[in-house]
Amino acid sequence: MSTLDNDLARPQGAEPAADPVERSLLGFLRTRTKSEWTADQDLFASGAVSSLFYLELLQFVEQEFQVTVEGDDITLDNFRTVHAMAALVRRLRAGASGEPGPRP
Amino acid sequence: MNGGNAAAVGIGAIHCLLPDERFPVDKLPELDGLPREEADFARGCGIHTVGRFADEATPAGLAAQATRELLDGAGREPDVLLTVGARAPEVLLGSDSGHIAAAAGLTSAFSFVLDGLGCTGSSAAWSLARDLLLADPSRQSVLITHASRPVSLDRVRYPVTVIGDGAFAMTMVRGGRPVLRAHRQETDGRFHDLFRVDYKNAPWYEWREECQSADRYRFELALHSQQRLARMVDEVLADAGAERSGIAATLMQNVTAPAFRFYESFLGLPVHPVCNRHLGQYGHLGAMDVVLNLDRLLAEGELAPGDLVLVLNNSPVAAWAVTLWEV
Repeated sequence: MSTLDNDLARPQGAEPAADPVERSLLGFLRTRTKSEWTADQDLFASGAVSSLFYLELLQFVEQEFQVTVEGDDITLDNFRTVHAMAALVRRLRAGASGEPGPRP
Repeated sequence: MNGGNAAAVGIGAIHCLLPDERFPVDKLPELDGLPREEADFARGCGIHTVGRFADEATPAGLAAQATRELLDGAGREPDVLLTVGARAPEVLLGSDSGHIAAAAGLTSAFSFVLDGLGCTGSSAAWSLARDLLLADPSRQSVLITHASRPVSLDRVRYPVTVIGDGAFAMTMVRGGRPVLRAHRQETDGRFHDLFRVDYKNAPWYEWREECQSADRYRFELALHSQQRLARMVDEVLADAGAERSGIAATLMQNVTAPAFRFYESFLGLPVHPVCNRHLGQYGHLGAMDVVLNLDRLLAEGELAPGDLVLVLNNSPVAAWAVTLWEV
């Protein structure tokens, strides 16, 4: 899976995401929805997404970042924004490697 | 639950009751009063018409009719009448199962209601019927019945489905076919109040289903369902010693056309077209969907003895079931 050109995904006036996880997530959203996203934009406020989209998002997160998202981690808050998703990925990666990681 | 003794219990007979009238969804009177998003959902969910019985038909009356017609001419009463609960009970403190038994002319069957599982109730009833037969050799037959009617005047359940009318009765017996080969079921109480009807503070004609959070339904429940059902399918196949490649047909409840695509995408199994056909014609029939789909699939004659039919069932409450039948 590839990351994206974040300059293309960035709405006018928005700062580029420095975090590579966030850049990758923004790229997925842009490609999949054909619209621009910011890292703090509420995914669920858009009202234009379906369960199938969420499934694709979950599969993207798991495959792109080599993590397993399951059980209590499947919450609206963990997926509400790109910031939140990136924090979840960092925590899961830290857990998988045995290193202590920040919790959201 | 696994194979072994399960091979002794299967389906005796199925009788489905469907209305002659099929009413176009885009002409439902409630659509004019719905927010645009909800009306658009109803028009675009893959349900073209819903079956509609006369206004005075009640779930208990329809279930009793299906039971009577199934047993017509049968010499022996079922030992158990297992009613899968309607969306709303007809009486408080009374007994809907007793009502159905009396109206169907049953005098000796032990009757009760299986409730709180939504659409998944029919699958849970299959498993419970099997267990009841295996637990007591003196029992010969368990009859399962259910009727689908909207809980109030509204048929649109945004963002879930559009409700149609129907009823079924079926028996589970020793030596019946298809045989119930394996079954798994699970619940998650955290979703218990995702949908509700405030019935205490409004007359019935003002009842309206409230969804606590459409996002929670479309995201959390959908993804929990994906993870649970994917695992449960593997478990059921392992229980039965069967391979995924050996599944002749996969059935599920009829909620929306996108829902079929959602489940197909992660299961890697095509949902049989009979499900989408019934969805378009009759709408969502609650716990009856999987029974109707299985009955019509068997009647179409495309399956051979020994073929495996996988049936998935889940509901917004949240409950999940996966059942493997051998024709």
